[in-house]
Amino acid sequence: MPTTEQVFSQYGAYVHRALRYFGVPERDLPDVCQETFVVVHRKLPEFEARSSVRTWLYQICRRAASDYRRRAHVRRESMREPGEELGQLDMPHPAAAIEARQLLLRALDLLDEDKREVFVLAEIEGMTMTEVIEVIGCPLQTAYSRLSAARKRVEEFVRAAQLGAA
Amino acid sequence: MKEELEPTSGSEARSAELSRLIDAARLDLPSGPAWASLSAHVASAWGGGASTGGFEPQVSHGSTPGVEGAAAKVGAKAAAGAGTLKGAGAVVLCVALASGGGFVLSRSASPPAQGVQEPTSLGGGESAKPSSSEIVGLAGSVVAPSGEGTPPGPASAESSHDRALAPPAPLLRSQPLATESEISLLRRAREQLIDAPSQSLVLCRRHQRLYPQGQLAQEREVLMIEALERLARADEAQNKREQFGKAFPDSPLKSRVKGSGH
Repeated sequence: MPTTEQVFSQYGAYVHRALRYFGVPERDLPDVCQETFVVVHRKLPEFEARSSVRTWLYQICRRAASDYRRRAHVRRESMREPGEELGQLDMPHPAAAIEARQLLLRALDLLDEDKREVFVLAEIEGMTMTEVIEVIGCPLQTAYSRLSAARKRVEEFVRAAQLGAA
Repeated sequence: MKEELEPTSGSEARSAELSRLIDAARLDLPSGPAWASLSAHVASAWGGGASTGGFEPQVSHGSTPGVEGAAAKVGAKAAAGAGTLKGAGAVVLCVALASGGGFVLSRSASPPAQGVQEPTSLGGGESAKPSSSEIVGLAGSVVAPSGEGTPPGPASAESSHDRALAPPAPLLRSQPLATESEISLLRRAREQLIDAPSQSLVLCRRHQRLYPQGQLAQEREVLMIEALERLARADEAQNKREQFGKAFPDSPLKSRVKGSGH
């Protein structure tokens, strides 16, 4: 049984990334990441490896982001501030990469939560569809449909951005 | 929830521009000072305080770690990183263990002090209705479909979680059915990958026979590559890797195939 520290060492960076693309803005990422691992710490003794640590962890991560969005909505706060910087703590990112990430985040902000989650898990986190449906808990065909719809919407946005209309 | 979506195989090609954005996102992992700051912040939550170094991240840029089982690949490096947790630091979060094991969080300028709801079962949060061929549990045991309409609440959530984590019941399915679903076959193949890669390979080949053009064909190929590598059949793995690149040039799993060996 891994310890929380071991889980964080192996997966913390990926959880941080997933939370960002699930829609948690930069300013709150450390806190939501922390909340995620607080739950991991509490639930780990009960984990019995009937699924992989990875899918179990992403279930918690997904729920943390979802709860965050709900709270932000209740507080009527803007999820993302205009011109929000990405990677503020990690300055060596080339400008082009930051610009690309900002553009993708703007596209993802247009998606419904369920489509966004599938897109992030499959396209960014590199999960197989069997892993995705373990995390999300939806039927396989639903996951594929959400992924397809998400791709289509994101592609539209990206095309529009290229034409200067976004 | 309404789903007005068309069925799809999920194998649509991506534009070059979208691929560029996704590649940039995949590399978006904290490192250096960002990682040190994050690990110190997170570590403070379970009383370890924060060291100057924090954890050592184990990232291979691009994709997430592989599909290994629970603790199989949480290695010595992680343990070493964990050792650096002990130390003092600016504890910005106060975590108090409340009665019943709950956490109370408080932090200035943080979101409301409200815990994160953990998943109530390993099957996920939605009331998915698995088909009869898909109610094979994650560890191979046969599980009953979750009780739909159960009111959400701490008590029911907890019991649901406990049920999901309970030791597997004696297997009712010792022999795969001829009509075993794609998903069930590959789930079992994945479960066998670490401890019995040759068995995993057998299951993948069965999938290949039954579902040559199945929805999970890409996943099957990835699993086969991983199994071949675990069996030290490097040439075959490499051969398959090249075939995968040609057959699925836009696959989201491409980085996983390239980054095999993790």
